[in-house]
Amino acid sequence: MQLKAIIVEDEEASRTTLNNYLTKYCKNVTVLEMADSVQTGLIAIKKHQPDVVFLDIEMPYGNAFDLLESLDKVDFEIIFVTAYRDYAIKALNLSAAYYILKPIDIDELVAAVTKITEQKKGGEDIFHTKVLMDNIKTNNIQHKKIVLPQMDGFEVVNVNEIIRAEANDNYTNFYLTNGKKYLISKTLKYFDELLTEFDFIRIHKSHLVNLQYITKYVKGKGGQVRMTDDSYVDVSATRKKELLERFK
Amino acid sequence: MIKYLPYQFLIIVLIISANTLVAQSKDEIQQKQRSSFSKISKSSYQAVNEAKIKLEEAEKLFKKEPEKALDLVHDALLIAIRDNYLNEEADAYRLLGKLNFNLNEFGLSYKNYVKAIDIYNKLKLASNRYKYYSDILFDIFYNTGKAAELMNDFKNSTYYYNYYLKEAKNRKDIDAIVKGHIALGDIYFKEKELKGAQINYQKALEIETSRDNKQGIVIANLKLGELENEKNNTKKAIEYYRSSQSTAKQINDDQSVNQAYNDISNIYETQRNSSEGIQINQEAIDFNQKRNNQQEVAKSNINLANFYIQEDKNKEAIQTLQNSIKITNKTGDLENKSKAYEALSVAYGNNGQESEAMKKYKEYLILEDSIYKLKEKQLKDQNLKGEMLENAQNKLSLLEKDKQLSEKTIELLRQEKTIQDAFINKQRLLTYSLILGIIILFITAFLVYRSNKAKNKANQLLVLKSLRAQMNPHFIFNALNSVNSFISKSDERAANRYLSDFSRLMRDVMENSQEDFISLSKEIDILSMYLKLEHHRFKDKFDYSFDVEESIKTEEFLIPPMLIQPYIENAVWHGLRYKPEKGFLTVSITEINKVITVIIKDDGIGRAKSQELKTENQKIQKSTGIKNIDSRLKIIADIYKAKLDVKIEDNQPSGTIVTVKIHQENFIKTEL
Repeated sequence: MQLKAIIVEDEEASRTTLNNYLTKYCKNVTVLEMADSVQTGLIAIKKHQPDVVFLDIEMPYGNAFDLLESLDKVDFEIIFVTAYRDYAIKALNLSAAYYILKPIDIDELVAAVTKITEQKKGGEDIFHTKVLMDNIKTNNIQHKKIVLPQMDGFEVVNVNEIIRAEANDNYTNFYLTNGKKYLISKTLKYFDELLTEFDFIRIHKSHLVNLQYITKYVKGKGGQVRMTDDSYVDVSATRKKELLERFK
Repeated sequence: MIKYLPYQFLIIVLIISANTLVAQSKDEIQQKQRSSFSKISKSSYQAVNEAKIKLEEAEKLFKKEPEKALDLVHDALLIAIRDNYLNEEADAYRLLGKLNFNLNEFGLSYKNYVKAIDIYNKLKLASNRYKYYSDILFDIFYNTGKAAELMNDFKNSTYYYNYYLKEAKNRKDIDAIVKGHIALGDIYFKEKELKGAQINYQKALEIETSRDNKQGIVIANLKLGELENEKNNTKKAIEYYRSSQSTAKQINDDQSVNQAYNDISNIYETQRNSSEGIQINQEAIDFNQKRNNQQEVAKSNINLANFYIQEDKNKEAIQTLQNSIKITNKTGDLENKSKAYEALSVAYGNNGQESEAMKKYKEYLILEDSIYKLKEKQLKDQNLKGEMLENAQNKLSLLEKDKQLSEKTIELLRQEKTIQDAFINKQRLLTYSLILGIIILFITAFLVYRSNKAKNKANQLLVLKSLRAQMNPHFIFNALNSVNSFISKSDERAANRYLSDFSRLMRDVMENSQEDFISLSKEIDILSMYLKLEHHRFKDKFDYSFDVEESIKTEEFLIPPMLIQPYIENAVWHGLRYKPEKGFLTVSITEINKVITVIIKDDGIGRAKSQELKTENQKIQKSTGIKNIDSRLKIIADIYKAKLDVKIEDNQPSGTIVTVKIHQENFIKTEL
């Protein structure tokens, strides 16, 4: 399946690098135009209606989010390109958006393109870009959404719907306020990093809980906490102090 | 140190208040002392002189007017006791003792002498006139012993004589040694301890013989004679008497000669050995007639007559006695006259002349009566004087009681003072410990302050280490991107060249990131490499020049590493990059008077516009490079007391000028 692509990237060297690699390794991608700023990028998007946009996050005269905010609707896939892990990465992860790091790893590039191609084939909605947009637009931390990738797709939930998460080898079980339970194909550590800013706390090697849903603390070596769904979760001795500090 | 100021103030207040407390109590005590002693110490110089003069006068009047002398001594004693002049007090007692002795009041004499000895002993030990006082004491010992002896207190007498003798021996004063032995001998003799008496007398005789002191020999022999007589060794006694007599004759000591005659005569009388008695008395009469000692002739005549009576030679006796009466009529010696009449009465009686005997006996009784009256009058006089002395003594004891009372008061005052002193000491101790505590507090505070400072410094160094020489990660990734772009273009040569340059730069940066300072030349290397690489990325955005003043000895100057690079980075990224047309960057390094000046000048869009161009989303990301450099500059200035000036101003018509001034002489690394 052929994909129409646009590259938005201010540095000439980076643009050519990406273009060269796409030409060589992603034969199904056709780069229609290369823009060097947000402004020219917007024009190119409107003009070509691309399937995928390779978007550099940091550019002069406005960054990638400025570009997204300027669009009424996003009906294309985005592969973000960034020099290094910064604040933006969290936002991207929350919505499970695709991104590749500079200097560009050809394998990563190919993998990202392959996924998008498959998604396009299946005719799925481009909802994680929507989630990303929603998350960017809302300032209320409780209204932010998270995309939970499953074996067969994605589950989008409000962050404040999550009671707790429990490690299960390289997967993670999520327990929600509506009683539902999801098995997600990412490690607990990944979610720990994502969710700490939403008042989640790692109380155990295997447990990440939402502070607002804790109803009781049971004393013990580490102790236990009871959640609103009446489940009891172990607290490890080493993290007990940190937990109790949060209730002071 | 500012935060310790309130403590300092508090401490100063504490010290001042403690001091005033102590000073106050001191004043109080001194005032008390002054008021209690003021009565005594009034014109003390005059008073002591007065006492001295009175004593001197008393000494002069001693013999002639003993009563007046006594009054003077009392006055002096009064002053001495009142004003506590111990020396004068003792002198007065001594004089009093002497006066009493002369008036035959031995008991009073003894008491006063003992008082004098008491005080002199104290003075001897306390004052620096040791010899003066021991001389005085030496004299008094004998007199005291004598007074005791004469009141028949042999125990005390022995005590003082022994002292006297001991002192005499110490002084090798032979006269005194003999005197002591005789005195002790007399006491033993009186106590019938004849052996002790003999030892002392013989010791005296021995000494006197060895130094051929005739007078002494006479006395010692007389004493020994008396002793032998007491032991009924009459023969030996007579030998001593004779020996004494012959020596006495040599030095014309008639009294001792007659004493011996008398003693020998008495022995014969006791033995009723009239022939020897007659002989010795005739010898005495001969001797005394030659010497014209009428009284002695009369006395010997009486003795002789008594021996005649024993032998019933009454006529010889009567003749002798009449002769004796004739002499006593001339001399007025009533006692011998009386004795003569008594003997005459006996002689007449024995001779059968009863009426003559009766007449003489009446004569004898009349004489005895007048002798008795005379004696009675003498006794009366004596008693009168005694009474007077007694009164004086009573006055004295009253005075003494008074003195004891005042001494008690003084003692009380002294005790009070001791208590006060203890109180002051306690307070002083309190003050000192307070001050000590404060000092300790200060020291501790100082040490804590210093260790805090050191800790701060150590922390700052640590922070500095983590802050310094951090290449902006953007730069590193972007450099790698550049390499990636060459690879993507399959430009092997360019990729290799760029990678080599980049590696060289990274190596320099890493090597020097361990140092707080590197040479200027090294920093110039790093900057030129960095500029080259940055320029490669933004060839289309700017050109640049990098000028280093040739005269600078770049090896000698020190500079914190990676200090300049962030300013260049900023010039490119926030200034030149946004400029629509190609810009120009100037980096220049100059030196004036050891001050290195680095100027980074760009004609980009300028700081204000750069900020303006940023969208809300972009502002979330912060520029770490300059923040980093600010912290570093602060810490470097703190630790190394280094002076680094950074001035950022706008370039005309657009762009930014950054001026970094590094004052070289200040970069002296201080030890922690």
